[in-house]
Amino acid sequence: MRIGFDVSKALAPRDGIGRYARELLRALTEIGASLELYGLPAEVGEAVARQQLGDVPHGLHWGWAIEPRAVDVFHSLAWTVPHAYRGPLVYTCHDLTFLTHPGCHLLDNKIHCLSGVLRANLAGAVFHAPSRATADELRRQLGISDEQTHVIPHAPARDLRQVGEAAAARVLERFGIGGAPVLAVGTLEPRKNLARLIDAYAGLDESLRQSHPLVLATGGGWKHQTILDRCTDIETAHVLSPRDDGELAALYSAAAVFAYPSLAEGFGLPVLEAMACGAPVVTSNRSSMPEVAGDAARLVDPDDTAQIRQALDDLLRRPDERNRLAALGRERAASFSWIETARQTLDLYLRVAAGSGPAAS
Amino acid sequence: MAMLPTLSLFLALTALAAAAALLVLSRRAAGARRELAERMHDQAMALDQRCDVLQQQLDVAARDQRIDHLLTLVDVSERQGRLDGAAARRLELYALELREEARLV
Repeated sequence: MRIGFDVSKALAPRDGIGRYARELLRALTEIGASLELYGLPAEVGEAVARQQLGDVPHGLHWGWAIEPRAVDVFHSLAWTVPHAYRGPLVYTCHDLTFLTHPGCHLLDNKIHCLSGVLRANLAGAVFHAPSRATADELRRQLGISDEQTHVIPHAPARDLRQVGEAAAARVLERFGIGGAPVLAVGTLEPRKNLARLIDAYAGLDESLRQSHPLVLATGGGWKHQTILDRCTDIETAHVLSPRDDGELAALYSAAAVFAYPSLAEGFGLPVLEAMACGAPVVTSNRSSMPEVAGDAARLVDPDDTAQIRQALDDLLRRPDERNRLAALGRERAASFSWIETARQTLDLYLRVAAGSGPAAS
Repeated sequence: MAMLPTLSLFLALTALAAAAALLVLSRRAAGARRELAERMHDQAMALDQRCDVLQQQLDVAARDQRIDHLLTLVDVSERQGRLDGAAARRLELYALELREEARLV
């Protein structure tokens, strides 16, 4: 079977979609799937593309010109549907927060995402949702049935693993951070609810803040000036950009608490990444986050600053509880695997190419 | 022989006059070059501003087109039975709100 696979975001910075594309590509390659990679940007040469995609033995294609019958199924995984493609289509809908939380998104992004979902639906795509919560949202918002949707979860990146204390300390030192941090990871955008997290952190006792600086590890974002200004006001708050996954893993490993009180997620990959690195997790009791975290995290109402503060305060004062959550988290993260995700995805490709669609999942 | 100092003086004065004339000419040329450079800079600035305005108009038109396309997609999806009526109305409203938002950008 020839599988068309969208790599337009696989060369992108370490955002969620880019990570999903790269990890899935790597795992599909390992289980022997034969892929044709589409959507490479014109300015990227073959050598660079091959190197950045991990030297995969697949056909490379620049742009979206897919010859008729060149592939048996195409997987769109970055909101775009190739215009000329008319064959069987698997469409990953990462989330519908552009509909449920429009104020958190930029206008062009909302137009782009809605256009992609509508075009995929019109093309008779089988939808892939990374969580049951996202599949439910597809049904609520667009009336897309469970028969048309298949849930396959993501998994923690395999290069993000707990590092030793000395290695973690070196990275903290490089960033000028003293003490085990309260860590938040992700794009600086309103949906991540960082303003409330900062308020909750600012409400902690001075002694706790001195021992546990707040660290926002990010690659940038939008509508984020308030967050940056707020951080400037707090002596023990840091905004930084890890250079690579090694530094990110060190930050996760060093964290006293990983805080992810997002307003809504389609999956919430950083929750699993933090767990894989042994960080105790505080996350939201909404959308996909309880589903991803299971019983291995402290869940809070993301609209309730006092509740976020209370959870941070409690965990920072109780090493025993942090250790308990960290152990549960490691176990939880280990139950997700990219190889298993790739197997399920390949199975979905086979069924969609054969015209049988997804079985209820 | 008595003519020599006079001739030397004449030649020196001529050279001085020529140098002065050259100096005046070169200053004028430098002034003209400066004026030309300033004029070119002003024209480039004006063109740059014009490009910004055109780009903005293009962005607005492109957004309008995309939002029109969204409304068409919703309509076609409903006609083809890919969206139920309630979802179609909700998405139409959403697209119209995007249009309002686009006007404010």
